[in-house]
This record gives sequence, structure tokens and C-alpha cells, in this order.
Amino acid sequence: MLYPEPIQDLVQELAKLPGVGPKTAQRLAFFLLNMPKGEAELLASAITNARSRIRYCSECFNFTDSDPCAICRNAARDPSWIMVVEHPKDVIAMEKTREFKGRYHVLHGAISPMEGIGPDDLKVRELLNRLTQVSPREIVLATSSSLEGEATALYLARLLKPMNYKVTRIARGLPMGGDLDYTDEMTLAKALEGRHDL
Amino acid sequence: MALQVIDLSHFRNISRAHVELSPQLTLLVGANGQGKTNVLESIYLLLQGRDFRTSSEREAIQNGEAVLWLQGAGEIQDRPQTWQHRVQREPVKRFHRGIVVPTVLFSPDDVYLAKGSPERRRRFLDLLLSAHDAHYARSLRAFHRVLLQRNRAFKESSWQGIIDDFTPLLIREGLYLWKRRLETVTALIPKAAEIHAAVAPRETLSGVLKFGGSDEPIVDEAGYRRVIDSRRAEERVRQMTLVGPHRDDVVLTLNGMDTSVYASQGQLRTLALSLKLATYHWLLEETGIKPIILLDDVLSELDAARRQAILETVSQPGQQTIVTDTEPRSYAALNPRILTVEQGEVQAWTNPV
Repeated sequence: MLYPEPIQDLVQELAKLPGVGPKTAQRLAFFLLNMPKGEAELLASAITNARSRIRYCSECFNFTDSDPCAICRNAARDPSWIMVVEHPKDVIAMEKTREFKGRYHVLHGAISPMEGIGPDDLKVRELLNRLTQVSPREIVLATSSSLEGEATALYLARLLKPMNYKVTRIARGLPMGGDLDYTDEMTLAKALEGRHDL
Repeated sequence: MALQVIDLSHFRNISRAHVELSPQLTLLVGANGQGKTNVLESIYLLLQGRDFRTSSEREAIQNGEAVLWLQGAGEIQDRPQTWQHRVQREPVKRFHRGIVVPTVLFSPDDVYLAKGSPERRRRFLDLLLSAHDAHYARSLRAFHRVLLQRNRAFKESSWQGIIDDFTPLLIREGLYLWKRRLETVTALIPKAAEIHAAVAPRETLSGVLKFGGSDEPIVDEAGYRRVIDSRRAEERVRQMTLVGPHRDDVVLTLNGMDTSVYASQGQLRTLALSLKLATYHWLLEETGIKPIILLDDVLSELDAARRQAILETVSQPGQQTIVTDTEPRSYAALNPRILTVEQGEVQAWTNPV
């Protein structure tokens, strides 16, 4: 027996979410149907709201509800110190450290030919435009240490260095509380490379 | 040390089985196609965390079933151990728990090791190294991912510029694979040659690891890069990566003749046996644990001298071995525990031998 059409539609849409298979989608759909009507409407309007009010910041391309975003508006943050990250969630992670006082640039992905993502599909051209306007003193490449993140950092370094910008890459090394003998050789080698005086 | 018991559920043609193994020799008897090799495969998978028959473990799930499940218990160096392995068909999920136990499998397919394509010899090294070197396993996965990315970039004209952003990563991972393979081949070949000379005194076995895409072995990153640079034009034409461990080969020779071209069936069999026994000794040295031996129907094909070489190893005290055969006679002297395998059912043998 098939479900009535509105339920089928709901299941189908939910199943498009990452990590949600047909079974989970069904469970979620019935959960939504059983919850108080007001709560379901709150969820629906939260989705619509987020979609209509959130856009890219015209400077850093992070998600924002006001353009420029709160970080790019903040005069206390150094506009000539730019950190390039893959995703908006990376901005949140870095902000939690309270260590970085510059501004961000969000690429929205990393180079991955397998998935059909090249530099043109990322906010690279936007980064170049922005750099001509702010003349940065340092660009920190903080893409992830995945293969795609590394390749993206190499690509950007190759692009930016000839323009005489100071380009740096965040360090890789031991996690806090990590045991040396459980660490893979590549991480150890990087940690040794990045050693410093005490 | 021993694997004492293994429980199988929906593994290939075995719906359910409870198998108790002897700490010495266990013999699985049954006609062809009853599931003897499946039991060996399950033991290998449980102890190594990898399947020697297939790279897609989903294939090992019984037809019409959703999940395969293996569980084992035993004692390694006087400490109780358990193992678990579970593979789910849809969505694909895989779970493995348990320490890696050195295991050497002798299979009729070993004949193709020296004869078949280089891919078989790379797979032999990869299975051996991945199980015991977590860094190797990680590097191997990473290398193949960079390879896919880089090869994909070759095929799109607008991506020619990003090919070389993957090259340093390719070299980083590739160099580690190459170094570990080289160490292993350098240690294995002399051992194999010694064993080979004992059973076939007129033949001299030697072998070298050949770096993929170059006639000269490489020693460092700069050397790797030189080879890659020198073949770059050709790479562009063929739109793929031509240099690296994905094209390595172990070139084996008998009396100076390349075995992939010139060896007879008998020579290939002896060579495979020598390589596998060498692997046994290498693992024993590397891990300090006597590897578990899995013999898949190989003795019947060997002559007396070669059979003796295996039996000597198998009959050592404290050596656990699991053997398959179509009839129980060949091993009677070693006092095996005998199990029968019939249409996926595993049972203790009831008729006296």
C-alpha cells in the first residue's frame, strides 16, 4: 500500500538530506506529522526564513543575514589579515579559539576533479578581486588537511605567491594529549618540521 | 596461540555455523563447491580485517541476506582475544574489531602470482603490508584517491592547471608505499630463494621491485619528481598518471629468466610455495608470533619434496593450521581434528578415518 501523496512527498524531500536514507526519512515524516501543529509550522517557517534571509557576505562569502557580515563590519578586525577556509563551519571553529583577529574568506568547498569541482566552482575569483582592494599583509591558508584541502592550498599558494603576497599555511602536528607512538609518520614528520624553541 | 572458535552467519553459502578449531591441525573435508574455502576466507577476514578474495566485502554476504557476521575467540600469546566482523549490504556498513593475527594463505591461485599481471604481485604486497602497517594502509587509500583526482584532472582541458597541485601529494604518499614495498621485497626474496633452492636445487630464484614508470629504482622525493617530470608530455597525451606505485612490479626470475614469460607450471607452483613460506618466516620475524597457516587444497598438486616442505612447517609444535581437502587421507599422520563441509553445513566428522 502506498502512503497518501503529501506523505510520500515529505518522505521524498527528507530523503534528500545528507545521511538520511528512505527508512529514516519515513521515521522523520511520521514524527513531523505527530508533533503539535504549531511546532511543525515553526520548523517550516525556520527553513523558509533561513533560505530567504541568509545570503553570502559580499566580502568574505560566509553566510550572513546582513551584508557585510558581523566579522567584516567589525573595525577591530584586521582587514589585511585574511584566512582562507573551506566552509562556514570552519569559521565557527576558528572563532571559538578567539586567537584570530583578522578576517575570513570562505571558498565553499575544495578542489576535487572527481566530484567535478575545479577552482572556478569555488570563491577563488572573488578572493582575487578582494585582494586587489585590500592589499593584505598576510594570507593564511586554512583549508583542511584532507587531500583535496591540501591540493587547494597548493593551488592558492601557486596563484598568490607570484603576486608577492605573504602566504602561510596553518601547521599540522600532534593533537593535544596525543601519544607519540599512536601518531602516524606523516603527522610526526610535520610536527618535527614545525618544532620551535622553548 | 590459536583461534579456538569461529561463528559464521550468512557468509557466502554458509547460513550459520559454529566451528571449533584444533590448536594444531584442523582439516575441512568436503566435495568441491561445498564451502570449504569459504570457511578459510572467513578466518582470514576475521584475523586480517581484509578479504583476500574480493575487494568488495559485500560480495561475501549470502544471497538474499542483508548482513554477514563473523565472531571468533581464541588466545594469542596467552591472552584471550575476541574478533568481530560485520558487513551490511544496504546502506554499506562495515565493522571490524580485533587484533591483526599474522596469517599465511596457500591457495591454488598462488600459481598466478609469478605468472599473472603485475597487479597480482602488488596486491600480494598490499595485503601483507596493509594488515600489519596501519600507515601503509592509510597511505595506500590516500594514494589511490590522489591518483583518481589527478587522472580526472588530465581529462578536462580547463583543469590542466591543477594537475600539479596534486603531484606533491602523489609523491608524498607514493614514496612511502614504494619504500615499504622495497624493504619487504628485499627481505622476502633471499628467504624465498633459500627455500626454493632446497626443493629445486638446479634453479636460482631472484627478484627485484621495479618502480612503476621507470627502469631505475628511485631513492628520494627529488628522484621521484625527476621521473614524473620526464614523462609529463606522455602523461598529457594518454591523460593519466604514468609514474608511481600503481605501476610497480615485482620482477621474478629463475636462472635469470623472467618467470612471467618463461616459467613452467611446475616451476610456478614451487615459486609460489617458496614465496608463501618466505612470507611465513618474514611475518614470524616481524611480529614474533607464529602465523596461522591456511592451506586451501594445495597439497594434492605438489610432489613429495614440495609437500614435505609444507608439512615440516605445519607439524611444528604450537603451529595452528587449517587445511581443506576433498578427502582426509593425506594428513592422517598429523592427527587432525576433522570437520566436514557439505552445502554450507559444517560438522564434526563422525566416521573413523
